[in-house]
Amino acid sequence: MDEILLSDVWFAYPDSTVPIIRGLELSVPLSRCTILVGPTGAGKSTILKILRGFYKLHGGRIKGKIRIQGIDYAQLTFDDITSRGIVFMHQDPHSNIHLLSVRDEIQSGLVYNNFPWEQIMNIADKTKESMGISYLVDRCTEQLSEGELQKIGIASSLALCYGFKKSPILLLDSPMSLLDGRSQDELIETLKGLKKQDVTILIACPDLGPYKEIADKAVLIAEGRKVKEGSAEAIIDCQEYNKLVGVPLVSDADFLKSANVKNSKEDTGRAYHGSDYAFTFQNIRFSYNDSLVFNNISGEIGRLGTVTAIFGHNGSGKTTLIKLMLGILKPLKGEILLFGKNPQKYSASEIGPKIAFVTQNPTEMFVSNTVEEECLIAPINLHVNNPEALVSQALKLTHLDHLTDRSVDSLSGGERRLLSLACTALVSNCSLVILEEPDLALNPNRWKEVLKILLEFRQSGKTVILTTHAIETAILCDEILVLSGGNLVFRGTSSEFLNEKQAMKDMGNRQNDRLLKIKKIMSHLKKT
Amino acid sequence: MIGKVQQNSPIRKLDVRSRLALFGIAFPVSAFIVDYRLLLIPSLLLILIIIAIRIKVKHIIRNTGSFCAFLLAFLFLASVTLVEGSFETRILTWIVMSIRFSVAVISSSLLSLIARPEEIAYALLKSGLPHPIGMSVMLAFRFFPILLSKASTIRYSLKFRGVSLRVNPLKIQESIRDISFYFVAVFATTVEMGVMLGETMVGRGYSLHRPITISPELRLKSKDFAIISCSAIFILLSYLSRYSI
Repeated sequence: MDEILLSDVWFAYPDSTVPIIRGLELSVPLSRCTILVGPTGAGKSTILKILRGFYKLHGGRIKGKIRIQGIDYAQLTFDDITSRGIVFMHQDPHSNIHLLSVRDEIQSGLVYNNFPWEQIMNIADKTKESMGISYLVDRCTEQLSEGELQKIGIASSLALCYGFKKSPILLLDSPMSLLDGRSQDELIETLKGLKKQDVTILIACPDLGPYKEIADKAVLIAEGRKVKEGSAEAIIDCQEYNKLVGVPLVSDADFLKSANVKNSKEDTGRAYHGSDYAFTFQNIRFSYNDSLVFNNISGEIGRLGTVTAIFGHNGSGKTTLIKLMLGILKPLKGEILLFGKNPQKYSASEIGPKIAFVTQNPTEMFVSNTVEEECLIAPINLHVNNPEALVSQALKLTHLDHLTDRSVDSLSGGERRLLSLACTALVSNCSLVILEEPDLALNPNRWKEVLKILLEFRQSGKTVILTTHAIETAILCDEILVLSGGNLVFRGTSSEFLNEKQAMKDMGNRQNDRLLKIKKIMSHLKKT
Repeated sequence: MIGKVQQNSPIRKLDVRSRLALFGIAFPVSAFIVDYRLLLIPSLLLILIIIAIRIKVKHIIRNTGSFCAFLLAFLFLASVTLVEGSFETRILTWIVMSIRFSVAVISSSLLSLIARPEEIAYALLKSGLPHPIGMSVMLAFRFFPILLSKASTIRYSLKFRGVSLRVNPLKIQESIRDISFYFVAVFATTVEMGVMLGETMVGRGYSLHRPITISPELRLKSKDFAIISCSAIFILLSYLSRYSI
């Protein structure tokens, strides 16, 4: 029996005449896990939001037939959808957190639905255990990293799901995008457990790979239509998937080979000094209120003309380190120098031509109405010649050229990520590019294109520093710094990293498997 | 600076409502006892309580130090210039006013050290406050820190794209354009965030018309009743002290 049924569904946003969903046919079986996969802007998140009923609140035109748990969608109010146990989790982790305390956030759904207190406590305990977040429960939500926020968002949705006894439906939008290896393992195990408890799961994601083992059914969609459906293995092997989504980085020997060949600056044998690096640290100490993040970190980061990865688990301090490096946060003790000067002392006209910075959450950095206007900010203010031509080239490189006049708010998660790169690094002549988790929300094809751009930056002498929790991204960089518990536990080249067991501990089983796969390909490449 | 009280502090055994009654109402009100000799009672009592509940003085100074310093300087200037009488009278007035305001400021700021905002909101809900008001208070506690962080991200994102938010007298038109650009972006983010937080709340099933579960863990014990009664007496005595002179 199908729990959700969509037949010839069309949907357009309230302020747009162009439909985003175009004649979609979809069936989601009861107590099974269905994965919606497709390229950026395919309409995956929109489908989940329609099912949760958000467009009943905000407007938007829906045509076609939708049935949820056997009831006509048109007859259901937003509150009806809530009371039927349909739980939704946003892609943006900040959108899932509305309270100050982690404990309250996890319990909130149950509290709002007036569950008995004892049941709330039991469910909260069960959720904390299954998600491995007991250590976060007494923390304040504003002190958490994005990955930790995503864990709490998932936990809050799960808690509500556990509460509804009569076959709830869990709608998750890219739940793994911000999770590190260990947390991904925990989530997969939790979802397996949910399936056994008759929970129907529908997940939207840019890449089917991480969900392969829990997917009972996969649906490939593009431009608001269904392209193909079947088992996860069948979809991954089909031609359409390779064209629209792409082979994951770990399985793409050709791409790894080309990236590895270009990786010519890895081992030159030369000793490097402070002046060879963009950033110099001296005895840095930093804490958020009383929670110590870094204690006495020293060294250099960002060897000129190379790509450096800052790798670490959720909450290891990657974002804090970047913020300190850019002068957004001030260290309690010690000194950070950017090209020999305190980063806080740079004016906009001094730092703009030097650095392009892409934040972890691209939505936070957009200030204009349209895609083109957003891209024109940097070249106009930095007095770059012929800004229009530069913007057009940047949009072409990121495949956003057909969205020039589109409102920034209407872009999908993946499109926003590409725009954040287009409106910074691609429209200025800066020598240093800093990116926070650039691989998030991108399908393998798009991510490989972005990687190519980053590797080309290196070829043209630019310095790239990126943060990541994905091992396959880190391994392609010239230098890898591993952060753990606020300490720099490893620093070296990718080949040194592959041989360092200590640096790779606690990465999670699935991340370890991916690493082994890469190791195999790399050793094969070396031989050939 | 929230929740700085030590684990073994006796204040942790009290219900948030009794903490609220004592530090949020009784002490600030008693700071305005008319007879300045009686004013010594709440002042000394406050010092004794601070010692008893084991809050480090550095936290209090960090929380209120700069504000109190500004207040004392302002009161000094006001007393010296506006109060009539001899120099001694002016200094005495300054000392009394300083004690009054310090008691009021320190006691209310102590509340933020001994109770988290959401605990206060839950305590208010438990005391019969309608849940839409209590939940609005809780949303506000989450809203403002994110707003500040987003405003900072927008500022830096513009800075790295060459947009200066400082007023340049030589390029006044450009400066005004850039600054207004920033404020429009922050305003848009504020609206977006309000919608986002509301959406999350209703998405989890919150409704104005349905009751919500209130934690039974908040339960007034005999100690709490004693503290609340003492607070009420304190407030009454403060009011009656008007007639004692």
